[in-house]
Amino acid sequence: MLAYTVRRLFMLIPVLVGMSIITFGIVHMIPGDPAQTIAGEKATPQRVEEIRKELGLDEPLYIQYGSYAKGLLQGDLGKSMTTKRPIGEEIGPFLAATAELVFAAMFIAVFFGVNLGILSSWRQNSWFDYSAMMIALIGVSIPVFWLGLMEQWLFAQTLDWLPSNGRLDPRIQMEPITYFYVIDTILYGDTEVLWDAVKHLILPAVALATVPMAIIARITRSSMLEVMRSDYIRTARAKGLSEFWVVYKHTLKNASIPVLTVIGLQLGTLLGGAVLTETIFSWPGVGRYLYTAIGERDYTVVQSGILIVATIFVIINLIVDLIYAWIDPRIQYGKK
Amino acid sequence: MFWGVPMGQSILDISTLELHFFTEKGVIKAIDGVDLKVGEGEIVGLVGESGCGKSVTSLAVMGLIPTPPGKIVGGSIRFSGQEITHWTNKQMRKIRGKDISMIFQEPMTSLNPLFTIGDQLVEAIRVHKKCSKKEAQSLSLAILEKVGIKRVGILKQYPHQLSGGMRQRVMIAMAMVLEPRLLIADEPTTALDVTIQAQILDLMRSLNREFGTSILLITHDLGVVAEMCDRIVVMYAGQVVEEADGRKLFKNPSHPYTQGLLKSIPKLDENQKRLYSIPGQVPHPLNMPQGCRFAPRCEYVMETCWNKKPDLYEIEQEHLSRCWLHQGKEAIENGKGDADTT
Repeated sequence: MLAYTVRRLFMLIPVLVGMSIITFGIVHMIPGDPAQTIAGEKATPQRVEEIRKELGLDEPLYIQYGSYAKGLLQGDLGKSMTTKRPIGEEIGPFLAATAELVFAAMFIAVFFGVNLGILSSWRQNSWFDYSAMMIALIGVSIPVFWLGLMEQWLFAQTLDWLPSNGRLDPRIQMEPITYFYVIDTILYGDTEVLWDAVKHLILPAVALATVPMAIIARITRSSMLEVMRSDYIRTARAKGLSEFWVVYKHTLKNASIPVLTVIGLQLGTLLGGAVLTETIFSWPGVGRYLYTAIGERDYTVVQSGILIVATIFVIINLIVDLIYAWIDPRIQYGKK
Repeated sequence: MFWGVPMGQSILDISTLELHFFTEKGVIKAIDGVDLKVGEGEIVGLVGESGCGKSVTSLAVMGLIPTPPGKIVGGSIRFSGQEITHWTNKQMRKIRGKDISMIFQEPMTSLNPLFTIGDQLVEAIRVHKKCSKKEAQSLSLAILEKVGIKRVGILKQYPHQLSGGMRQRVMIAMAMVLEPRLLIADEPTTALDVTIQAQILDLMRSLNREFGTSILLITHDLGVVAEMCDRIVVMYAGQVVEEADGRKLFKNPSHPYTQGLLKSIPKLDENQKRLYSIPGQVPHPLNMPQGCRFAPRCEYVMETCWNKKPDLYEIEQEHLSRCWLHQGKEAIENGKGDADTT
């Protein structure tokens, strides 16, 4: 298991190199001249040329990549072209904001998705099953932006139960520590602010959770149904185990592998792709950060940002793979 | 009508059990009036082709028939004198694995692949018995030794690390660990090599002697039955067609189906060109013959067989057969005659 983990970590290297080349290449193929953008439309050609030189954009692509890669190896993600600040420093709080939102959403999605799936499979073809799967189908089909707007209209505007956007009430001043506001408020021991942070988290988290929840519920259901037909489940029943143990111990563990795969994929996707939700709820996350950077043709931010998001995605999937081996002793990676 | 086992001593008493599956295509009468008794300490063989209802009968005893679509619509199952036919799942759970236990055909898939042998055995013990994990583990090791597994660290091993024969031994250990009064073995040796088969059968017989556990052995293999069983019950298409003690059945099979089964055992001493097989096929459960269910395949079929259902008839002491051949002319004329209308 340890050897496998180490080997998988080594195998990350070519993947990361490949990703850095691809992001670098794609970003440089985007039409538009960043030097022109930075200089402004009314700038003289000389000024544009100066900026181009300053940023190293006049060099051939492979030299540009070389210096970029060299920086990456030293842990330097480069500087933003627009703000001139180091990207590594700048992106941190945005990543934390996204991570907080995504973890909250995934918690909701996994908890409700898995349990809905289990109950549906356990009561297959009952009215509960039908309505749960109907909800799941609607969940997959609802566009996130529409759901987000409806939530704001109902819970924020009409009922005034929850705030409609942002991470905290603007009147609250807080010096962030981890940039996970829920954790920060706990560290400060301020329950009132904690409650405010949680309230701000609910609507976007629910909007973001809907699609993954629906997918997880459907996968859990079908996977559970398949396992429930197997012989060892009959053995478990023949032992006199209660239905709860049969379902939650014997069936769920066996059914969990496809579910984990989906959870891993969704988690990775959401970490980089929560742009819509972040925009609707004015959530200062990494999706919006990158979206803004693309609009400003901030090459360095876009390529490093995409690289970070992609790396997180790859690492999450590696973790999922390792969990497989931990769950199923038959999976002996690499042993032939 | 019954014999062999005096009343009150039978551990399992199934009488005129009817179990139907209500499917979209129609009602499948999987079990149609089955009578079966297993005495204290007795080994009874239940024989028949696949799909004749023998496994369904055993699952009905365990209360493991999925409802819906399956439902017991008539008759009764009594376990050590208690009527258990309409017990709730909760009530059944108390005796499942403790008083009645079961082993299955496929040892390869009958153990949960993600839990250790120890975990699965300890679980089987602690469902019914209040004891510490340590006690359950030592109990597990003791029973594993009894079924012939003395491997060090066996409790920490996973099913995929054991061979098929070993897994079936683990299944037997799991079934026997609480010393049940009845063990239902559903084709326990079918999936195993011949040499392992004999070992497993020996093991079951010695456990039967040691614990006095009654065994209901379900199989399609007459060789297995001949070796093991005190009494043999032959089923065909959801009905019992013949019942006798082992010797009588092999010496003097009276139902044409049983005769066919015996004839289809390959014999070494005879110079057979081809193996015998019973002509025709098992009738489709949705389209049962109106009279005798074996009539379409029977070489002695008569007029009566097509429209009158035969009853189980005592042709000699301790020997029952469901066939018009053995019943007098009178019986045929006064026979039920209420042809099966479904």
